[in-house]
Amino acid sequence: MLGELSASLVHELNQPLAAILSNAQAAQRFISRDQPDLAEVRSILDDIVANDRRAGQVIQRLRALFRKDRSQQREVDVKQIVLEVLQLIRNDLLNRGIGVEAELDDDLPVATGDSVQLQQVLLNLTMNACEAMEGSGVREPIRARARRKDTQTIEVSISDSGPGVSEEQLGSIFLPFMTTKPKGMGLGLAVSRSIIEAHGGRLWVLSTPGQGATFGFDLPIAAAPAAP
Amino acid sequence: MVAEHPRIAVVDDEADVLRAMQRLLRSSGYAVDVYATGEAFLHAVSGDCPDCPDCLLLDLHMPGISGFEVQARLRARNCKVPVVVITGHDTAAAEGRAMAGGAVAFLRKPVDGELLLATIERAIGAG
Ligand SMILES: Nc1ncnc2c1ncn2[C@@H]1O[C@H](COP(=O)(O)OP(=O)(O)O)[C@@H](O)[C@H]1O
Ligand SMILES: [Mg+2]
Repeated sequence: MLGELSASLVHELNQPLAAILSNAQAAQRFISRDQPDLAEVRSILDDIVANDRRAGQVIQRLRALFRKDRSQQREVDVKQIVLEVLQLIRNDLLNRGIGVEAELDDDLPVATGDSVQLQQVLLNLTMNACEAMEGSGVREPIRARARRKDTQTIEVSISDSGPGVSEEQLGSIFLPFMTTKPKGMGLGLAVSRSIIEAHGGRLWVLSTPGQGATFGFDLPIAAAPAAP
Repeated sequence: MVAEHPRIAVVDDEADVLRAMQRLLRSSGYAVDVYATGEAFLHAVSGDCPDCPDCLLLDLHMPGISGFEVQARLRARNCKVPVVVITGHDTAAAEGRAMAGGAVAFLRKPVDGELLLATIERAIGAG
């Protein structure tokens, strides 16, 4: 993955760096004129700031991608985590006119994991579901599910009724910087996969092209406290 | 014949890069036309060579037709505009292919302004 990563990383950083350099050198020329065009220089500086932020964002997301070791594995309430994420994006969903239905088992056991990281994963998956539906004009609600799969695992999934993922795309959507969105970073799934793998699970996708996609993962159920 | 303010066309799908290059070139006294796709450029200069800029700065990897394809179509039209390729994908294979396609120079992003301006001057002088 590092090979693919560095090629796309070079590209992602090169664009803002190229823009910053040309802008800065243009500004140097503009201000050394007899009558410096300050309005022009001001808009150049705005662009430099924006491009620098963009480069910074790439680095920040990359950090997240490699921050596995710092995860805080604790007992977590999966149902609570899902509800918190849905609460977090409630307004965003409302604005886009997209509904959510949560199907969360009542008697979910406690799982082990890092709640902040798991929220990040769910946020990524839900935003993707949202963006997929937005493009397709379908208005079925997104479904967030959490259920006990077997004695050792809880399964969490997010389903949408967007265009789905084609067979051809399946191989690449988890790669860093792979995006089909004009303003996408292409890191949501890569980061999520890395987080879930650090939790000993696997991030999977099921999709019927034309009918939607389900992204999900398994979490280990916390070991029962040892008998006294 | 080169006009008093030579005209440079820039084709790059990155709006930020495009704007920055436009400023850099304008700050050096060039007239600049920018295009976000190869198609847009080819369409704009679809007439005879009098429509052509004095120099074309061309990105390679863009949605729609690639920079290589732009080169090929210009060649097919027998268009002699000097092409400077500027890319972030700096593989040797890409460089070989661009140069074989008739590019006068192959520059890597981020490209230094002095180098770019010197390259353009050379390209226009040779054209
Ligand atoms: N729910 C989904 N339905 C269809 N395609 C999806 C879905 N989620 C992700 N994808 C595809 O996977 C790509 C990568 O997703 P992601 O890593 O989150 O990056 P981003 O959202 O920034 O594009 C998306 O651009 C999209 O093409
Ligand atoms: Mg995403």
